[in-house]
Amino acid sequence: MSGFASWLFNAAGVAVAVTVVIAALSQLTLVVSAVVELAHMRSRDRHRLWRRILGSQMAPRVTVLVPAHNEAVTIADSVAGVLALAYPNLEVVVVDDGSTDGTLDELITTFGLVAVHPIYRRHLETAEVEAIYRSSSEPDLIVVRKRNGGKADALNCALDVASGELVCAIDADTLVTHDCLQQMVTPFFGDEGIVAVGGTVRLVNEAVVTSGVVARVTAPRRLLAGVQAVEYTRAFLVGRLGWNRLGGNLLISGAFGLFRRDRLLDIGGYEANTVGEDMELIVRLRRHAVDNGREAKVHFVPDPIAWTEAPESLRVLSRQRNRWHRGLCDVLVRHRRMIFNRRYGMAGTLGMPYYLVVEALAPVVEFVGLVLLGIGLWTGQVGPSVLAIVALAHLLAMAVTLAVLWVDDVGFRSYPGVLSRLRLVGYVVVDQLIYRPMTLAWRLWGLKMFLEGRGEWGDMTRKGLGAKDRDPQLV
Amino acid sequence: MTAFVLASGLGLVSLSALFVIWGALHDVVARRRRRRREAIVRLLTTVLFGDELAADRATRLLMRERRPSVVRALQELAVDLRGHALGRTRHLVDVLGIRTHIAAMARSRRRSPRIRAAELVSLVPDEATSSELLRDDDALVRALTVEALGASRLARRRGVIHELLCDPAQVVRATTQDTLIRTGQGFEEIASALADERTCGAALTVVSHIPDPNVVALALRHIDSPSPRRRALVAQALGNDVSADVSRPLATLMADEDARVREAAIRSAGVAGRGELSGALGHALSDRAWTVRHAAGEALSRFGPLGAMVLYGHLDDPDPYARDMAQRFVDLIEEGGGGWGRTVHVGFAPLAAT
Repeated sequence: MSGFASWLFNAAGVAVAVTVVIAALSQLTLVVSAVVELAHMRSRDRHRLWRRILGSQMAPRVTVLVPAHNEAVTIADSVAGVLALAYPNLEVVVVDDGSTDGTLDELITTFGLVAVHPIYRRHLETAEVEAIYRSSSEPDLIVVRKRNGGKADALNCALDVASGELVCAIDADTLVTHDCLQQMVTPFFGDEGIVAVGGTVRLVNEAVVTSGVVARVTAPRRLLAGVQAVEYTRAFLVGRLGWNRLGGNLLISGAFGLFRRDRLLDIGGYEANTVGEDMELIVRLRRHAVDNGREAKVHFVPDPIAWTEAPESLRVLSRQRNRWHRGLCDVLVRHRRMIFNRRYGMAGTLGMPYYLVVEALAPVVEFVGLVLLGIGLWTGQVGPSVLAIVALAHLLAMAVTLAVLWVDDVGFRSYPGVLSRLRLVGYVVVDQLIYRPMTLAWRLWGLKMFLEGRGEWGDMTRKGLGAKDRDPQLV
Repeated sequence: MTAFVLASGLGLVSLSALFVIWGALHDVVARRRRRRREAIVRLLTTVLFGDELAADRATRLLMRERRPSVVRALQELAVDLRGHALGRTRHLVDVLGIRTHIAAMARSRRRSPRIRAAELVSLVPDEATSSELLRDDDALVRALTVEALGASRLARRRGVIHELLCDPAQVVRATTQDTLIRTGQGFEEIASALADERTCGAALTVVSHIPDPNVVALALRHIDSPSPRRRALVAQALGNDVSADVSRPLATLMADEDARVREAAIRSAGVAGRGELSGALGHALSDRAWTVRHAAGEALSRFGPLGAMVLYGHLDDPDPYARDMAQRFVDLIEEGGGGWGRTVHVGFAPLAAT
């Protein structure tokens, strides 16, 4: 019995090392891909000509979709911020999704709204629309009041009402750069096969925000925000930019993404019965395109264009990660036909299998392995050579994360200054040794909830951007 | 094994230290480079806009700088100058011996030198280089060449504008349209593009933005186009003509089945000050589309007492939507008129189908 236990604990250690190495090597591959893509994009997409043309009358019409539910405190500022974006051909559709806190009254007062004929061409099924409002002072603003149906339903309603050829979904609590739309529209302008463009979302925790503009960014001092800064950098640089080059990009952040409206209508808009609607939408777009013999490229803009606040409490963070994992599992199950299916190109051959193996299944093996390894260490039944293998695997993973930060520093100088870099190095260690096992537990919890068929979102408490002039809000 | 792990750990620590030190050095080098670039741009600005003596001194200082750095700075400046101080810039290019450098860059296999050459091509009078760049495989290079040359130099070559408006890349077509709109030149080429089905839409977009009554007659040929977008562009173009009698076509377009066309026609009536259409504009206050009603209210509020009279008349309109819109603009007139200068460029498209 003791021999078997010893063998089990040692095998668990090796399993942990193998999963960590697999994750690290796949990330390393994506880092290399990201570097190649970055070099290519620098010369292609960052030219001033794009911005000049996209600042002229030739710019395609973009509709920004703003779903709002009980956001009376911040809605006026959010909408004013979107209306002030530097883009010449802009329309803003705000959908009040059955708010009960006076969100609509706030909009009516601020923008002088008046009810108009609630007639529009309905492409998508949504909860009942009660009224449509227009503003005399802001002719580019349309406000729709509808019964509560959830975020996806509100976005679908906004999609129906929108008139732009491109639509941009944006979270009300996301801070965007002034010229973000010009940056995001650029790829559409250069390639007519592109159906969706996503941008880098960075953390705004502890950054200096002046009048809605991120003035100075440093690596956060608080540990939880700090490790998330490392995690976001890795996720966007590796998880998005790396996949961009390989053509297997399957995810655009729900906080900020730009899409061709006709293609979204073709696939029936956002899926209401999922908690991972952002990834589900992209996967469905790609799947639908292949099934119908069309092209559907998904592009990623690496320059930071949107800023969001990371949760700084373990309770909120755990719920967020739990939800993300449930969303991932849901997408993998819904679109299981795409996995290892060459018909779907890189998305089916590499993208979906990567998410299945590295993101969905490996955490289960790693977590179980870590628990057994812990017990083995406690009882003294783990050999030194196994421990050394585990340590080496973790060192490799840390080195890869450090390489990611280096590439980010060369490309974007996201966190300049010696102190910021020193902090980041510290966070790399904390990320690998403490934070990663914690996220594994949250993921497993999410997997359990998914298997039980529980699909709640959970509350997301934030401090608010520019915390001095805003109240805490629930979104 | 333990020693190997320790060595790996040490390696990671060294890598971390290298990351921090390299980052700090990178910060310093980047700061120095930026200062140097700013200094070169300051010298170039003095050469282009300063007095003779200062320009002469700045030129001598520039000659000591590395040529690629100067070319890069000149490229950035040339884009923003958009043809200003062209004589001095060309002289500077001759003095520094950059002209041949630009021609060589235009023939480069690499893309970035060709992009640089495209931005500087206005400084090279030689037509061969610009023709080569206009035929480049890369859309960005072609678009940049169009922008650098400007409509006047493009118009000198027969058929080039027409070809550019047919370009497969959207960025080239848009740059050509933007260049034509900005300069308002290339009239003959636009006329030929209007006659061609492939380029008609692009040419109409240009025509609708050029405040020149001469092009209105060309646009009017497309008033019966089956495309609502084209009819809307024709309506928009009619707003540029204040001299000829365009009331009848405007009235026709104000009764169009498509809301975008109606809205564009109403806006043109307002811009051109077509008081004789005030009755029709009053009727438009009852239109099903909000954008059309809003445009009608806005147009009437521009007509002074005549428009105000029509708006007051509709305060008792049986249609509550017409009444509401009339009331809004009457309120604005009584408040002193703030807020109606803003233009809605594109109509509320989904309403068009209702």
